[in-house]
Amino acid sequence: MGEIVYILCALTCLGCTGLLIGRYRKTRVDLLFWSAIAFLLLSVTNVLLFIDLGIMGPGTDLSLYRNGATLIGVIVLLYGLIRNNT
Amino acid sequence: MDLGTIRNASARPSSLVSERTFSEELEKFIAGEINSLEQLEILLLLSGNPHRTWSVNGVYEVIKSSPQSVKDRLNEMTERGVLRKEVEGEARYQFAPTNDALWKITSELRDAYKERSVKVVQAIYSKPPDAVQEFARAFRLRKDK
Amino acid sequence: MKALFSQFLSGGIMMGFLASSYFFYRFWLKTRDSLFAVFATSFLILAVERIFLLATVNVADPSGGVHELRGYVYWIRFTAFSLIIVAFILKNRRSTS
Repeated sequence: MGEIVYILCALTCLGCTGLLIGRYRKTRVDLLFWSAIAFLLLSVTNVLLFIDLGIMGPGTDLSLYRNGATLIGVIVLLYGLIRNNT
Repeated sequence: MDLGTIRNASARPSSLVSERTFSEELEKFIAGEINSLEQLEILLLLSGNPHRTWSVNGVYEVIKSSPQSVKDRLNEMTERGVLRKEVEGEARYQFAPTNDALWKITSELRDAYKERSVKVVQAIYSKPPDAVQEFARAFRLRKDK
Repeated sequence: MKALFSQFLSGGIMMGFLASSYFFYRFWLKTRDSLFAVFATSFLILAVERIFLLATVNVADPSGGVHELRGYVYWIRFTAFSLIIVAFILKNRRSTS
């Protein structure tokens, strides 16, 4: 039951990635590119969450990789946002 | 640019104004607020008749772009605090800006468009894309730009 | 040790989400576009989720079972993303109707 939640989160992030990349190809605005990468990494996190809690048993713990992906995603997002402002 | 920055515009010295096509405030206003010729015409139409309210069809009869895009422009400008919307029955719009400096800048825009319409259109369409605006546009599935 | 490092990363993530939320809040102030209000809120919720993830860490048994309430924490994340979905649907329904 909880597994659907993880997949939906991943799909939402992928959706954002797709929309942002689509607009980036038309306008070449850098912010869109970096946000797209960030959302891609966030969707990777949620896919890993699905694999970790949904597919694999309680023996495995991918939390380090999940947090790593999320942190890199967030850093990329902030990079894009700050770069846009300066 | 947010609409609040127009408030302080009149305090700036005007010694350099004669060198520009438009005043600095007007250039900033066009760059930050005016995104299309359609929007410009709608703004000038409503601000030229500030005493009356307009329905979407009423505006469309004059502007003649498309009723849907007219409606979108009117709603956008309402969101920006330029127009006021009455929602009882059919939606009607009126030029009633929340920021007083908008009266001055709109009439300046009207004069500029009357005297140098080509320059105004060029100013509208030669802007570099605003990243924040493009981010928002990415999430719209409409066909127009 | 692994749990410690994981929470270290989580702290950085929380700050990242908070900072991103603030950027989107500023975009909302500038454009008054509700999309940015939603993104600001969603990222704020994602930041808050980190606190609940910290609270539901199972300290006693790092390799085995999970804290009983942890499953519910991910609903917080889902709320954040659902807001984005809802905002997207509302945004596009209004203009195509």
